Amino acid sequence: MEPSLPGNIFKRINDTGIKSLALNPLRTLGIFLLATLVLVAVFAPWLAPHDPEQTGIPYRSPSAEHLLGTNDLGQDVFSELLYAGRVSLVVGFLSGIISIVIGVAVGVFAGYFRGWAEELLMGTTDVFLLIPGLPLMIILAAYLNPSMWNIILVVGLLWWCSTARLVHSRVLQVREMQFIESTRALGYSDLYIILKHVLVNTKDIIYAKFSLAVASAMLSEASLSFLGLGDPLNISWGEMIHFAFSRGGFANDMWWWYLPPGLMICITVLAFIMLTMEGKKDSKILEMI
Amino acid sequence: MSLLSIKGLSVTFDTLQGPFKAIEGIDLEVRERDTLAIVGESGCGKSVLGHATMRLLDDIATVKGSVRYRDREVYAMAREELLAMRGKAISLVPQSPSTSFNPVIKIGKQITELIEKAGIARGKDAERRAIEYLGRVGFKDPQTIFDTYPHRMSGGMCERALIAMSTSTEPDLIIADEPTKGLDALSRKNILDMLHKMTAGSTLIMITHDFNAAATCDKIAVMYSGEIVETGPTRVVLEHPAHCYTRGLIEAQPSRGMKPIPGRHTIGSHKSDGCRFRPRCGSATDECGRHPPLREIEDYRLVRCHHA
Repeated sequence: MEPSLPGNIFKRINDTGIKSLALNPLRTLGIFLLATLVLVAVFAPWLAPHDPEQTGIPYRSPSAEHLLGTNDLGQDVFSELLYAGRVSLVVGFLSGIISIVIGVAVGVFAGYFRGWAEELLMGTTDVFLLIPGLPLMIILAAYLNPSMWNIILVVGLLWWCSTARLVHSRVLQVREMQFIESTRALGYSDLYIILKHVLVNTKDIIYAKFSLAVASAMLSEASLSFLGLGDPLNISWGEMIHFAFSRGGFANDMWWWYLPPGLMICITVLAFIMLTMEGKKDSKILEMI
Repeated sequence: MSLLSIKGLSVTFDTLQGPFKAIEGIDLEVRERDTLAIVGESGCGKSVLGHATMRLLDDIATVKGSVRYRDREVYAMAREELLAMRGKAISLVPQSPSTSFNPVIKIGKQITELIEKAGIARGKDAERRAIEYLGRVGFKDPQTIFDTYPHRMSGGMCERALIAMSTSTEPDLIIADEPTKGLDALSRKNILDMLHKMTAGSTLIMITHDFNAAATCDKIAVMYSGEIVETGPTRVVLEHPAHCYTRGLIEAQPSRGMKPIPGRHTIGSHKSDGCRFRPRCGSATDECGRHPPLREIEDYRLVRCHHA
């Protein structure tokens, strides 16, 4: 008996071209939203009407001069929103990369080599999965210096477990397939087989998981920042809500201060999730994640 | 000088039910340019023998005995030497052609990869060589096959592409594991002709349970229950089988009236020490309670039977 996966998974792994996008409006929309967000973040200094640090008259309502009014220090909220996108996206991407690199490395190593390495690595993963994530993040963020890089590390180091498990289960399937044995018979080293033959058969779940990891990391960052554990020098969307909350934005019902950053977080997370959407109903990828 | 010399090779798998002896005490000499067919029914250990020859099993099974390739002990080789030998000196054409390719990499890239790994050519030269070999195995439009994903091809096409891949490094020894599996009579003949054409000048070990395929090889080794029971020149063995099992197998062929061999093939565990074919053998005597050695009955003919 030969272990095999549903054929459609493999047939669709390479469907990443423009043609497949036409069949997948959700993913196209996700890419479009994300591209816009990234461009806005990159070109924030040119797009922002004001310097976000420059102070003026506080608590102004939206007007032509200040599209989203001003905050408690008289800083332009719209400009701050554009700049905060940079922080949120950088934190999300870097934490996502850290978690995916650790998760894939652990999953592939455990799944391919099996034996005691698998026991050790997957055991560690299970222990990490048992730890309640948010409370631990709060504790770590509270005891470490409030800097953006610490947030990235904390979120990245706690989000890899589910990726590791998922990649591990796929690698377990792939390693038993005939072509892996063939590549061994052709004399390739284990590292080469992993890099060139196992990973390409895992890339669909890695992409999807990366997208979701970035979204989760952004949400975690927003939670930590909202609780006041963010980096005060690098204001993110979560922190904007924190300041709006702690400095009278909510109490005075200044929706233009607290609503936009919340909406931006929603849109960005949604864009990342739409990226992982499959066009056809028979796809198994989302079910696995 | 023999190219491949196997002495006392045994492979034991550790299972939950205890040790499982897949092959035991295999002795085999393969000289250069030999074509040898290894035949036997499913589960007799043919493929395990092929894999053990390339030392592909030593991390999942206990392997005892010696495999010498060009007077180098395969089981004493350093890892780098072993990896360099596989694919370049000894090539395996695996079973199940359609699952033997990586499903997400184009055929051409997989062949080019091997040619580059073996250090025969690089870049464009390697690609040209891959296309050339795809042409040689009978593809009319090798460039198209080069750019095709494996799942778009039929089993027979994959088998041909596999043969192109395995021979593209011009290995000295090719082990073909059931190259005619799952093909109809005509494709079978084409594949066999092509395999012999592609491996002319090399040594070929063909693992098969198809006597028509075995008949295309010069020598034959018949396996039963993890042991070699008869070896010799193919024509002589097929015309005058000396072992009762070989005789039974030949008479079980559709062209010979399809007479079944009574009883069941026992593998892995043996209660008695006697001849393993004894429970199914029509001419077994008390002497068969003693395990028969593989002995020479004529020049180049070895048989594991007391009565031969």
